[in-house]
Amino acid sequence: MTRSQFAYILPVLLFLVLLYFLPMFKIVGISLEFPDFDLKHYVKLYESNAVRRIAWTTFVICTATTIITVFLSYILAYDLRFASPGRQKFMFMLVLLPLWTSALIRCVAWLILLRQNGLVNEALMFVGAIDTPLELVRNKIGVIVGMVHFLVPFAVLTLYASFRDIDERLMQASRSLGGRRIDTLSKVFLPLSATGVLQAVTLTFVFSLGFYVTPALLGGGRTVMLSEYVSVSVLQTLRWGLGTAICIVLAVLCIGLVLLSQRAIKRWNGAVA
Amino acid sequence: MNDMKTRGKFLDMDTFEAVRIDNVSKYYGAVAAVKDVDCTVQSGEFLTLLGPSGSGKTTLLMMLAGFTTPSEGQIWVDTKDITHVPPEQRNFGVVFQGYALFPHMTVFDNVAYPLRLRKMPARQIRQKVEQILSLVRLDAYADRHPRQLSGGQQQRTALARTLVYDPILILLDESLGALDKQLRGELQQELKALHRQLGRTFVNVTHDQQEALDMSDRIVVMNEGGVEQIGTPRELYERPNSRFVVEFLGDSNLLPTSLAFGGTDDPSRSALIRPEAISIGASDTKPTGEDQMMVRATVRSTSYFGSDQLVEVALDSGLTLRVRVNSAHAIPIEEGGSVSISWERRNLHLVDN
Ligand SMILES: Nc1ncnc2c1ncn2[C@@H]1O[C@H](COP(=O)(O)OP(=O)(O)OP(=O)(O)O)[C@@H](O)[C@H]1O
Ligand SMILES: [Mg+2]
Repeated sequence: MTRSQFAYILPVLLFLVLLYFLPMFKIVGISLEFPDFDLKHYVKLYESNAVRRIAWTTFVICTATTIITVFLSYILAYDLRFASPGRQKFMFMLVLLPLWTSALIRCVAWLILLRQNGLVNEALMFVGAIDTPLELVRNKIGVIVGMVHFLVPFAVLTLYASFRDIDERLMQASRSLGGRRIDTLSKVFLPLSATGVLQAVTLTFVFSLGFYVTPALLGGGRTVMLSEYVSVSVLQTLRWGLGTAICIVLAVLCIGLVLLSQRAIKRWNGAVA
Repeated sequence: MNDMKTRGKFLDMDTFEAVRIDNVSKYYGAVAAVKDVDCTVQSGEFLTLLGPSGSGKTTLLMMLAGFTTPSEGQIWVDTKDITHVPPEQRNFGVVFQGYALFPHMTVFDNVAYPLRLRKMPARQIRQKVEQILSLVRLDAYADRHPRQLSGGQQQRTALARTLVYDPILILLDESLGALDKQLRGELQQELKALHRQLGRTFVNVTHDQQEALDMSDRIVVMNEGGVEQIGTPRELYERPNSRFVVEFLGDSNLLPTSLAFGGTDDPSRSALIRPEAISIGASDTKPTGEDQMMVRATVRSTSYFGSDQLVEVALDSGLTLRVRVNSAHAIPIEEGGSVSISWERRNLHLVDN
């Protein structure tokens, strides 16, 4: 790299160091009681029943969210991939629209829809499907609904990008050889979309681990996830050591997941394409 | 067309007399990709769609395959209208541009795919696949994935996958286009032999005139979405009916009729003479017969190809002609030299201007 090239990337480098790496080091430092090297927060984290319970809740919610999100997004992205250009434009608009709305507003909207006397419950009672209102919010269901809603656009875009790389002639070949739509989908499209699905799963899961506003609002304080617990530790109970330790564990987990999935994708591509 | 009966019927149908393309057009917006095409594919023949890039060959082939629906017209298999029958029910075979082999399957699984769809018993599948792989000389490659094959091997795999279920019509889109010249020649001969051996009907798309002339029983010359002429290779070469066909197929000279035949000129037509039908002699040669026309010319340039030599000569009128001289009977020809060139009137063919 020449000196002038270095000068060009210097601002970005400074930006990263000042606003990203320094705080990260600081967080690592706090969690280890710098300048000591004390693992007590990590030990506490491991031994605490509360943390264990919250971690389990987080895992369950994130897994459910990921499965539902990727499933719904797969259908959407598949439809997008083969839609006419006009319909594609329209669908993209619908998919991207939620991204322009603030997370807070979306949560409140869901709250209004899903609460005891909300639109969904009223409608179900009106048609006589239920007698008493369902508990749709201030619990896991509410959190999952909100998170899925937030994550679907990201998963759709990831999947769509990978679907576009699948040569349409492969699908045509399958049809010309006598394959019905379902044969072509299950024997050709699905296997070829495996890496895209893995990418979407990783992205969705890692993203969902960091959710904070949505669980806080739609969980109604009863469904606490790790990120919210970090915020409570840092802002309310002032247990910075514990909070930062959770952060570090989450970060390591995310990096590990991403690396693992990249390796799997590479291996798969090596075997196939 | 949503009932299983139609599907069954088509899978059962194993012969036909003719596939008829009946006044078919395809519009994309205001653009006609294919315009008023009328053409019949006879059972058992090797038919080639030949034309320059953008002339509508692929579009027409995709309408035969069922992936594109004609804007106008019908496609018939004997007395059945298949215009709206989806590709999976046609029991045709398609070899796509680029081959479209399934990258996640081995050669064996690629070839077995259509048989598995037809719910053939596993033992029978193994037998059929092995048989067809040895026919295209790929027995040793059954366990490879497509990316581990050369271009020619990929082409043969695609062909095997298409032949294995005995489709009634085999459609090929530039299936040899991406290969180098020598390999293309070899595969042309193989394909020709397979056609003869299997007695199946082939429709081949190409823009390579040599391939078309060599392989086809009949050629459909296409231009700007329409059919320019249909005929055997010999008919098209010797009796082309338009300037387009003349210029697209082989090397040619177009002469004013007065020069070609002697006598008065017919400005509405030109006379075609092929370079190999012109003889070249020493400048003092005398005409030998009634039918022969002879003129003086100057040698502009020569290109040597081994078996023959292409000579460009200029007439006194300024017109240049291309003459193909067989190396075995060549007189010494040097650039700038004076020669006499001659042709027989019966070798001339009139085309409209
Ligand atoms: N899906 C499409 N939408 C719009 N125009 C199209 C479409 N498919 C083909 N065309 C147009 O129709 C014309 C014929 O195309 P086609 O692909 O059939 O030509 P071709 O003879 O196969 O050419 P090539 O030798 O380059 O493959 C072209 O002008 C092309 O731009
Ligand atoms: Mg084409």
